[in-house]
Amino acid sequence: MSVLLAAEYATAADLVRATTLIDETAHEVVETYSPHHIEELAPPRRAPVALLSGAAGIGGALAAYAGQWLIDAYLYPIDAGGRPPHMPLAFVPISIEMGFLAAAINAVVLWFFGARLGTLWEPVCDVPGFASTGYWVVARGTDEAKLRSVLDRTGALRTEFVA
Amino acid sequence: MTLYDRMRTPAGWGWRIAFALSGSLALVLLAGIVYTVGVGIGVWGTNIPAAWAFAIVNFVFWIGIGHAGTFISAILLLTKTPWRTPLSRLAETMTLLAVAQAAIFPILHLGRPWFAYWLAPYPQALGVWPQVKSALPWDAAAVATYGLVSLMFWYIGLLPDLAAVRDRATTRRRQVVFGRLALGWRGTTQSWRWWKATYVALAAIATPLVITVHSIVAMDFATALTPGWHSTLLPFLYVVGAVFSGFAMVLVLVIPVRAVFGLSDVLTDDHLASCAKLVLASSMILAFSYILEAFSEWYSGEPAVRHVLLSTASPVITAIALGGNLVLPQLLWSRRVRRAPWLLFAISLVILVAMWCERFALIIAPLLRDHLPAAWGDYSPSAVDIGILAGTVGLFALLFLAFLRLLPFMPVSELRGEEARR
Repeated sequence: MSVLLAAEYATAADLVRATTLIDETAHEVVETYSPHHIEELAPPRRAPVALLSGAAGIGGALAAYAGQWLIDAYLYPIDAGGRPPHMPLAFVPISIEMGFLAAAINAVVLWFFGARLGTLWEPVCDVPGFASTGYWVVARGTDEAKLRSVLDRTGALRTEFVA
Repeated sequence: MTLYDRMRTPAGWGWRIAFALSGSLALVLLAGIVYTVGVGIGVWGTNIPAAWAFAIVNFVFWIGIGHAGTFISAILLLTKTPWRTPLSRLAETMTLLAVAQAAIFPILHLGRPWFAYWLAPYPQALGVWPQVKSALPWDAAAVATYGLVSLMFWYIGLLPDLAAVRDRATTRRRQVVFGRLALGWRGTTQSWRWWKATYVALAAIATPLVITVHSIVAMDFATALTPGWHSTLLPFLYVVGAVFSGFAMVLVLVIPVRAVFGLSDVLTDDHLASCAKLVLASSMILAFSYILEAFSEWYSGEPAVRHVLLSTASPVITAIALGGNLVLPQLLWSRRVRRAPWLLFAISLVILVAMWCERFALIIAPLLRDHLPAAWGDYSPSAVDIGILAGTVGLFALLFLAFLRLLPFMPVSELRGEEARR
């Protein structure tokens, strides 16, 4: 039967050091929490936001161009000042803007799901004193006393039971 | 005392008076809109030939103001400029509020604003679709995109701080409201990794928008055959002016906030001086583009274009525009001026007025002196025009004051991150 304990640290450097020490004692770091981005904690793999958003942007721009052709050259080809119904140059500004918009919306949607937002509660929320403004680690072990002792050795300000 | 506590300083009398004044002006805007919609835009000074008058001047002015927010947040983020962070949230909020003011004008200028949704190609059975070869749908697409991307960028930056406010909330109402707004953000490593990637991606998307949005606004004019407007230089001139006026507005907002909340240790004189240097640099580029524009108009040899170059909608307005945009910023060469906050504030205020006058001169004068002398005319704004302009200033200030009270206006999580890295 495994146990989860949460420990709070004073600084980002303490948190980074603690995760290394916990790993070395064969316990598992389940999650880390910090009030700002810490490069050392982030896995080396980059989130694929830029690539997918770029693709969405190109798709959005092409779709906008096709939409403009559909409504102004095919469905409703009125003669406005003698301009041809299909006028590529005039279709460019909206295509560009819609491309940017599609890329941005795609980035935000990816972020929402990638960062697992929308879950308003998880067990760590009930840990006394837990806040997103602190440096916390949640670690898993099989023996609570041993895990607690490991966390104390890593310089934790306090250690709390999670589950 | 943490930065969060300092931002929660109780509202003093100064804030209440400012809120009441800006609220009163916002009511003037409401009255102006109701009157305009009820009676029609005949209550404005708009006429033929000055069909694009006050409303479009104000639209161009406000859209321009919005540009510095994205410039500071996106471009300076990508270039890793260190002084950007403390200014970013205030500048981004300024962008959102300025775009909201700008959007009011073209919608009212439609004459029948309740049909504004016709600009969007919504599914319908009539078979009458928007004419995308007209510049009006370009504007709608550009402004809507800019507003939405700015909103997303602002919200993503704000989210960790909303979570911090939620965690520090002492009342149930604040816990619930900020709990919902924070979307369950807890600052896990995974969420920070995604946050960083998305924030940078959105910055990269927003950066070209700084150029495209005002360029598209300028193309409304450049694609017309009106002398003085029909120029490929116009988008460049508009974008430079936009960034210039936007930086001035950042200083106008940041200096009082810094004084009232006692944030001179976070928003230091160095930050203000850096911003002032950008005002000076953009003023110089603006001067260059004025000269370029004037030369190309003279070199065209076309009588109507040359005539527009020499004619002005109002000599006073032209003098204010040139004095405020080109002469006054030269004071910023002085290090002492750049490090004197209230002097910077005064200079920035004058620049804002001058930039509005520049927009007025650029838009109105060519309309009044078209190719055919028989079509020449005069223009003067009506009281409703002036009331609506003053009202947007009031609404902008009202929303900004409300933002200061309701949301964390400093990017604390980013500042803490920078501090930890040092």
